[in-house]
Amino acid sequence: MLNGALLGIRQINEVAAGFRLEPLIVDPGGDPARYYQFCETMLQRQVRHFIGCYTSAARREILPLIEGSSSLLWHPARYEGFESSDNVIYVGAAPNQHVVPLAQHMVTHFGAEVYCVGSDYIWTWESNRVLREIVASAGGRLLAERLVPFSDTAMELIIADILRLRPPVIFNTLVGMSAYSFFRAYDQARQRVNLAPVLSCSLCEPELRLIGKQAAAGHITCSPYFATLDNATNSAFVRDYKEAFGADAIPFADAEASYVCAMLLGRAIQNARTENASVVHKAVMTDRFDAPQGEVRIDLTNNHCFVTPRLARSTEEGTFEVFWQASGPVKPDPFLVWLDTGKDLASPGWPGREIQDRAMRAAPHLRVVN
Amino acid sequence: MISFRNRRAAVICPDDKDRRILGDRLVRLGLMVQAEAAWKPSSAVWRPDVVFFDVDSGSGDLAGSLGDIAGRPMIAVVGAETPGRLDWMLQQRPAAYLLRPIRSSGVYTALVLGFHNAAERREFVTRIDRLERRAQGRRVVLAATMRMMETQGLSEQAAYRLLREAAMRQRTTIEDVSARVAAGES
Repeated sequence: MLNGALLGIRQINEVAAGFRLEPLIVDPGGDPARYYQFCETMLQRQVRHFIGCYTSAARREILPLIEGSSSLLWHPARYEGFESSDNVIYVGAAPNQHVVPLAQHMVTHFGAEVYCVGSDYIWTWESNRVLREIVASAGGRLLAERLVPFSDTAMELIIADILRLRPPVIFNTLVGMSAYSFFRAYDQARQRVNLAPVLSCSLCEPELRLIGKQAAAGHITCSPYFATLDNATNSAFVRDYKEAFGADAIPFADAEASYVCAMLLGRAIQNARTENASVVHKAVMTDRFDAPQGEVRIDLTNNHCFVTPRLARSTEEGTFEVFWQASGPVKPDPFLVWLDTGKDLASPGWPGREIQDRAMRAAPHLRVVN
Repeated sequence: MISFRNRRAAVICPDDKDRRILGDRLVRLGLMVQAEAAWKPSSAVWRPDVVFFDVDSGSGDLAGSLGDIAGRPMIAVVGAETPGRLDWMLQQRPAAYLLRPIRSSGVYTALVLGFHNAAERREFVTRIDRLERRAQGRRVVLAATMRMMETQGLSEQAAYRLLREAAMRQRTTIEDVSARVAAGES
């Protein structure tokens, strides 16, 4: 993410007239309290534009500071949705641009019985919830929901479970070391028996290498960006990225989104002729940027980005082969207002449905945690 | 004037800025505060009058594990407003909620609303219980009346009067007498 943003800032500074972007880099190391602390310090130094925050927990931590100071947070990461701050430009994919197309592909091509494995946090909970509704409307169900504590790498039980159930498809929301460990163990297992591909929203090019190119091959990811996209803007982007960060460096979804953040920010400052956040905010709304992923723009109604969802299969070369893409940039729908699963989220009784029933039987919350 | 002086508040929340602010506000409002990252059986021993609980990090059946302090106001501390989290929140049957970030205002309102709603809910449950018992009793009275009408050839009013007089003589309820009559004891 840092590299993508730095590359964007560098390119803006090459053409900027009358201003210069000066990056101030801090690494809170994933600790929410430090996000708050660093953000506060930067605000005291009159910083008014922020690029970053990978997790929703980090973003929500600094949101009050960002809103209170009328600053702008340019947020590159995909997330689970259900937020729309006037002070955040959400460049990463919203749920209708990642989990929804992936789930729809799943029920069309693999069937509606899904085995879910993921890290035990909000991204998994919400993705699984959307998936559950989509497969249920297709007459299917989640065969299992395995939730793994962060950085847990013991996957034997889950692999054994998968071998026993032989699900037609697996949906993965594991992150970091847990994901790498899972994919390696899964590869071991599939050398003995035929196993379904694993579908993810976050698996990206550098991770394919970390897992091992061969072990990570043959799985499916949904994302607006893959390094192999065949267009002139992306060719230039990949070239510049390698030039800046080494021949081995390969851009991926979060790097590209961070690059888009920096470019949108720079272009908006240029057009607004000021770095004043509210004026810049207005300027970015009218911008259409030819990004490596294709044209992007910010939706006036919710501050999220129009992006083009794509599905790709990982190859043995550690890259992705795109096999489907939306016909054009898709309007972001962070609250899934337009998702039709036959179950009307907005109907009376939701989300209070079954509340009486629940009170009577005091059903325990079903969650399998390994 | 609603005072929360010396009320006990359990705050089930990871140790973060919001928990500190919330604890501080509660102390200012006169409450005693015990903060924990997770609910433990020992938390109930302290017998809190109100339980604040974090929705972002919550899991399992918190409401069901409260034991004999169930029915006390539960106040949800909401961070991510996502359907899955809110659904879990509803399963704990909160009486009020607070939004993160916790601010200097709002805690008092949540307490007032929480205590009010919890008391009202307890009252409803008691009232429903009473009405259900009475409705059930009506069936027994009717059965006893019918039985007496059949076996003794009485009119409905006469049968009912006999039952009521028997209850008064025996210093018990008409439902009680009716239950014995319906069971064929007399």
